[in-house]
Amino acid sequence: MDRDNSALIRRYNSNIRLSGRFFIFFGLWSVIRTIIMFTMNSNIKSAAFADAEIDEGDELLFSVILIIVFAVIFMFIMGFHLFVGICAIRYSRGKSKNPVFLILAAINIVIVLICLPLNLDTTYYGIASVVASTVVDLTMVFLLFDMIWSAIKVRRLNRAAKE
Amino acid sequence: MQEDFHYYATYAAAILAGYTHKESLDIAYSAQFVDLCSRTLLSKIKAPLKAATTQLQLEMMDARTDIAGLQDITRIWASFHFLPLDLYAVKEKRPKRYMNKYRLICGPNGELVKKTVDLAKDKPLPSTGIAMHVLADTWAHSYFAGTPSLVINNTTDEFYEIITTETGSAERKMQFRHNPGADDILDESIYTNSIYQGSENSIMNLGHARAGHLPDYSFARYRYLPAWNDYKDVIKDNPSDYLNAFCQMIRAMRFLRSDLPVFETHEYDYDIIKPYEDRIRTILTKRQPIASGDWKAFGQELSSESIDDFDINRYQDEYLSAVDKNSTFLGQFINGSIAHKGMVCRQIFESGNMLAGFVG
Repeated sequence: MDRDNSALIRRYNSNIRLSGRFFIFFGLWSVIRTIIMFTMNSNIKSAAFADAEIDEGDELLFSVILIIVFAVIFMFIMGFHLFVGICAIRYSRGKSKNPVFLILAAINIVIVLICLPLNLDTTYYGIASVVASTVVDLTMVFLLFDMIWSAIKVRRLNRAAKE
Repeated sequence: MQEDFHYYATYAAAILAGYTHKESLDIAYSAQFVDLCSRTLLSKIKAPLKAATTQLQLEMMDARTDIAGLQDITRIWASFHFLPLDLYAVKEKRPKRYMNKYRLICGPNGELVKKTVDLAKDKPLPSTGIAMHVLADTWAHSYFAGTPSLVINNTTDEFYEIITTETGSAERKMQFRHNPGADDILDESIYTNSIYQGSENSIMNLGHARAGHLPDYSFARYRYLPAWNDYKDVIKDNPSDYLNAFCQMIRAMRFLRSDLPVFETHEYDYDIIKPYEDRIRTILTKRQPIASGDWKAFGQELSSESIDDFDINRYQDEYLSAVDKNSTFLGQFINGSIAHKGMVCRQIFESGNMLAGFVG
């Protein structure tokens, strides 16, 4: 394999590794953002309790149930991000050839893009929060696109080198 | 490079260039002194601090990395240990700020090497020693820059030592650790380097700190990824580079003692070392942390004289007690270092690069 191709493969693997690391970080960010939303924003808390039509005496029980539900959701979110991120890092180091993380990354892109208009609701959040959230989500989409694109390029270059 | 090359090998090269034993000792002493002439030492002997040719680790720990501090660091390291190869190098799609650092990358046979040797012509022997130190370091410290820069001097963990085997050569992955108190384990390719610092101007990113002591081992052949090379690897063949440095030093010193009319880059005195080539190659390729013993023995055989071990204090009393300090050995060294630093910094400034500061 010539030096230029080797350099390109290294560059794309580096992109995959970087995207993987940031995707893990984004998972953490998603969890922290949700926690802040519910603990700092009294409007959301009140709306959740009002929607659930909770009696005054059952508030504590409802809170515990909410915490358990959210904990499970957070674990799922973090688990998903960790899985995709770690798979990407292992793939970039040549320790794994399983491309399943790319499929999950593509699914994540679709979900984020679909949910993007829903995030533009300013009923409970200020415009600054909405803009910040949107920018973060779009950055994550870009990273995932880059991860998928880089993995495709690496595959093509390796195939060309074998031929 | 280390004392083995700067002192003992430079002595041997000076003998082969035709200098006497005493002259060769003076040149070698001066060449090695470049690695030790810090502001701490200069203040001890009440000498001008601007003559500093190196910085001690303790000095660097206190060094500022604002613009003035960076210029101060660059002036010393780019002038004496990482002489820039091409101050007008071109690289596409890079901003000026990046190019200023890229153009400080060290390498042999640049225009500044010729200017360095020419500057030492008709000057006292300490100037010759300074020039030889700078020339030798352009070979050892290639691909690194004498300014703190992550984007230039950083490396990845993709370091492979090229080992000679019975069937040819093989690559062995090197490991780096951040334990300056521990010796490098040469047989297992375990070396010490500076810790990764994400800050662009951190002292940890000065020169070849990220590659540890590797460039200074004459036996080392390795492949690695420098940050400036866009993911392309470079192969460093120290035995070959050190041999070229040795032969180029002989050529330069022959010019300085007027044995040759002109010194040009890319010219080496291989013929002069012919009778000793096998011996020199054996020294260079021997896997040892420092080759002072071997070089000293070689030098003593060449001159049939005994080489004094390097003593940092040798000329200090002379300097302290002298009325006319310029006539002392250290006084001549100080004048030579100030002249050389001024020349290099002026060249850097005239190329439009402010990293070495403003030179009026």
